Amino acid sequence: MTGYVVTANRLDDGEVVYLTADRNWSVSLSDSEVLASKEDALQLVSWSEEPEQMKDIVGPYEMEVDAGPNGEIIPLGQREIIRAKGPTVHPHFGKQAGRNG
Amino acid sequence: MYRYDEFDRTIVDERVKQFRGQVARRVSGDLTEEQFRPLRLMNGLYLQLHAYMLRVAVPYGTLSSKQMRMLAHIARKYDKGYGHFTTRQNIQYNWPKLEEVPDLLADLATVEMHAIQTSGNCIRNVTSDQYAGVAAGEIEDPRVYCEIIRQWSTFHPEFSFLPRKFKIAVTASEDDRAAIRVHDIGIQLVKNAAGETGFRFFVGGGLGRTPVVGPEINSFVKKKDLLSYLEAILRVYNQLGRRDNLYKARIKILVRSVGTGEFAEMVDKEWQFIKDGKYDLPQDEIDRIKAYFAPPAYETLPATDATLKDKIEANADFAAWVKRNVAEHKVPGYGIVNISLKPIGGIPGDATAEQMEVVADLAEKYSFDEVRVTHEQNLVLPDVKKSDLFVVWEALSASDMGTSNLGTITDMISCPGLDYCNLANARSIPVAQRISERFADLSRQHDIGDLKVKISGCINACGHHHVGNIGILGVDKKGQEFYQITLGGSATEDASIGKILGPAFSYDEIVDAVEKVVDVYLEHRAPGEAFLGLVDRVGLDPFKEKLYAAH
Repeated sequence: MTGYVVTANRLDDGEVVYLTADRNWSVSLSDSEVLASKEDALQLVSWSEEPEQMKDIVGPYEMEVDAGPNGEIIPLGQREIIRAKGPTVHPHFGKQAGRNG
Repeated sequence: MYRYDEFDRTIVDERVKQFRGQVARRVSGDLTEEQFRPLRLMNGLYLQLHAYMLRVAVPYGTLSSKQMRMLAHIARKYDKGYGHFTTRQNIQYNWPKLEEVPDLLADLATVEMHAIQTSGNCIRNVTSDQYAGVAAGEIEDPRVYCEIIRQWSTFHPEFSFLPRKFKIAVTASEDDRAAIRVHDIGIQLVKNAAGETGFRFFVGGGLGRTPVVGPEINSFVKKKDLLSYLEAILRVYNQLGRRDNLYKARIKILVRSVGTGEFAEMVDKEWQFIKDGKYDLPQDEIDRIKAYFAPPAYETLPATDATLKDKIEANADFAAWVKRNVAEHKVPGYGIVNISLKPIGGIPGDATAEQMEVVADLAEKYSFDEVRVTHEQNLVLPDVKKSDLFVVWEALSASDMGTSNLGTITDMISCPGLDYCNLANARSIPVAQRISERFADLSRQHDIGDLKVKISGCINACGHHHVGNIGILGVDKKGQEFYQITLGGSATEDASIGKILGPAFSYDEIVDAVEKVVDVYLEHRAPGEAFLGLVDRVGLDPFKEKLYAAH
């Protein structure tokens, strides 16, 4: 079943971040809060666009996700897959670098 | 090459200081992102998918060894050890941190470089022929006029908020290596019947959503009128270019909507107000700038070099490289060395800090301290003695920059695509890498001959796909990457826009499709017939048959 996550880029280094249930920004998609409807996600995007939140992030928007077999959050679409990992042509750069060790 | 005067130095230093303050205010929350965004863009700083991207200007693609070493230093200190040379002859860094960018720009300023006007709706870095000053048959070094245009356009108060970005290219050769016909303004140095040198103006060319080969609006503008004529074009555009629709804002749309003749008349009318006035370009100013581009102290050498001949006979790889990558120089005994940034399976235009340093050392030792960046994402050592070619090739080969593929199918232009770019719909780089690997065999490449493949990851066409002999455009179909092929495009003096072959191919199919296009070319070409010649002669049908017959 698909859901929605609010995402943005971190101000200081542009790193992709996701909005968590306790209203923090995490670099890990697995920490994000999955919202059932697009309306709920858009409300949180509006909240994210408040000056107070925008001190640390840039360009929040909602993205679609799916649930994996073990409940993991899977981004939908090539763009979000690449944002969640890093450039496919540089497996040692971006978020995927940390995962690989 | 050009050296900063006190004005250049002051404006660049002040801009760094100003941007440092702007970044500090953004970080402290005094500036909102909405307020800060146009300020960072004016300094070449974009936000891409994973990080910020900084585009650094390389004016008309010319660098000294010292500057190249600084680019390497920046790659190492502020990035992840590499940079990406672009179709605007610039370099982009993919991973700088916002708070470090002012320090990065301060380092750049120490070697007379900056990122000013590499973004935003202003006149961008003026590009030129990578063989400027060394090409046989060239009228004059076009970089003299590029530099004059740079000085005129830098912080031009009237043209800082144009309807859209504005790109100018200048060349002085009949062979167009600067793609001038697909620029907002393309300028060609020409001689008139009286033997005077002046400028031929093409206006309203461009790629993107609406690809257009720029029409000529004036066949001869006198040297002294260069700036007043440019000013007149920009004034007409600034006043009448559309600001209501991003996709219709470029000058090409204006030229098309009013018609070339009418547009030329409008420019002429505007020109009459400012001609023979303060925008006149005095000969002594031309001479002053020209002195910066004076030819280096060439030795008097025989046209052929005996040691070179021996090396060519003894080493087939070197011979292939000389044949493919070394171009004729205007001075006997010298050659123009093209450094391929397209190793097989590599990322087009990427160079590591170590590679940049190798190039800087070679330029210092063997090429009068100068390097050029090409719009096809390669580098050039413009002035290498033929007797030094072998040692230069050995050094380049040892650093994976000696591939003898200039102008072949593996010498592709590729935009960063969806691996980095916020605007992209599909990946470009891995498609380029897979095509490169498919055609890895150099003898096969040399047998195919000249063939320009250009790949863009979206319709903005940063990868110039419209003017590729084979163009590849990445599109998004319900979240999946697909690739449309165009055939018959050209960015040279015979500029043309490629025609769409048919339905797009999936990521998995696209390399096979390109190979089939090449197969049709090899099957049907007459002896010596270029790819464009065949497409002109037989049209798209044989290609369509081969690619779509089974579908």
